[in-house]
Amino acid sequence: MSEVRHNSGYLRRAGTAGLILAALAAGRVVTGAFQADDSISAPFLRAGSVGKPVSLRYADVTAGHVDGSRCVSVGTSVLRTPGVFVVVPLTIVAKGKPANLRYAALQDRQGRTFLATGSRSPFAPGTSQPGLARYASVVVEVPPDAVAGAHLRIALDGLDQRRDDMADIDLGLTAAQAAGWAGSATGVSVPDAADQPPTIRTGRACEDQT
Amino acid sequence: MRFNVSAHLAAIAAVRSFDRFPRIAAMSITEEPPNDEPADPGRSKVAHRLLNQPLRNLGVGVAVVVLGTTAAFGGLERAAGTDRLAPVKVGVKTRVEPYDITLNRVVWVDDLPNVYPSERGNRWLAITATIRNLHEVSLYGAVELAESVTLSDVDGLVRTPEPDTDRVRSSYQKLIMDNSDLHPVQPSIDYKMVFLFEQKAGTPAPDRVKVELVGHTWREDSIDKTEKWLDPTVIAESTVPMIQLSETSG
Repeated sequence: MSEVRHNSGYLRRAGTAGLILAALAAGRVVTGAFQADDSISAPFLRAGSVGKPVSLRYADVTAGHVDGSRCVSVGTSVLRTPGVFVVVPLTIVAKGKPANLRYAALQDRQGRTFLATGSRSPFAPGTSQPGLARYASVVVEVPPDAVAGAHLRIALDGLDQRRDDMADIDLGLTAAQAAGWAGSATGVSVPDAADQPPTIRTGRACEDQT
Repeated sequence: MRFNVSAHLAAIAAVRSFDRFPRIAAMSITEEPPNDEPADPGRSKVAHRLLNQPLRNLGVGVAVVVLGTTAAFGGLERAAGTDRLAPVKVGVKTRVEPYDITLNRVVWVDDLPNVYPSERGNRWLAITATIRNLHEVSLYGAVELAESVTLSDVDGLVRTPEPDTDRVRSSYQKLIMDNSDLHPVQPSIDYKMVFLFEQKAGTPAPDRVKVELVGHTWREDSIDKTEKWLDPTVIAESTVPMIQLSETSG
């Protein structure tokens, strides 16, 4: 009789362990099937358009008139591309505490992501002080077919944008603009980031910028 | 005096088998009665027969089970690096994940404008190429791209080989049209660029170099659980002529 009770104890424990494993497996299947992991960790997109401030947790961000060319001058460098450079002026006003925005990218209609990083697609706004406007530019090198319908995405952290606000600004660009930029002989001069609005500088001819 | 003949014969057989297979035979002697029936009524006939098997048979069985188990985890898949590598062909586009790469020229030059060696007098071994990022996100020129075209068995290269390999990656990856560092490498753009390998001045310039094309695999990193291009693997290699770049050759 005691042996039967002993065996039933083992069975009960084994059953409990089996149920726990089954519950864990079921949870994994459900989250995998519905891509819950991605939706939980995705950034919070805040939609906007050119000329209108986008309110983010850490700053208000406004995209200005978008320009483009097959060459740009950035600091002392002149960059050329077999595609086109898209140049977006930004006005950044930090909220509550200083903010140094480090993520910018162009997202095209095909789902491709063109990061503004490194020497050929620079984005270095520096630190924005709370309540004061900071003026900077995003430069992104893209193939011409990525321009029409592209959105600019801006976020605080350059490496990890999960679970935080991200601006998603429709730049209102067309294929005709892309073709014009790709065929243009006039480059775009990109001003350095500053606390003062940039002065308008006329772009020089691409061939003259060597 | 009564004599159990069958028990006697079984004992002789057990002692003989002990000579060849000591462990199994010893168990037979000490644990089994001198007849064919299991001593322990709780032990199955299958277990009894298994214990009576020669060690050689058991070893084969265990090996089959182990191999069968590893097969479930990819043990019977073709091992990487066992295929004959494709040759590197200059002028032919090759899929080198995550890039398409066409090698155009393999040359050396004593100096280049606005590209500075680590020591005065060092020369540049240069491989010009057309590359295209096939991934849907920007890539870093100094990471996957630098790993994608490498040299081996060249004396005097300034950079050291990649860990556990003979492959040396380039010192610079430059866009030819503006001499800028190719970083980032944006998707879907054909870049005409050059891989620059710095060679020490005291070493003669090679007339042939071994070139490798190194592909990567898109998978989750087991450490930080993010997906990356990992596992650099040589997919093509050849020893190709290297000539001096002269003004007339461009």
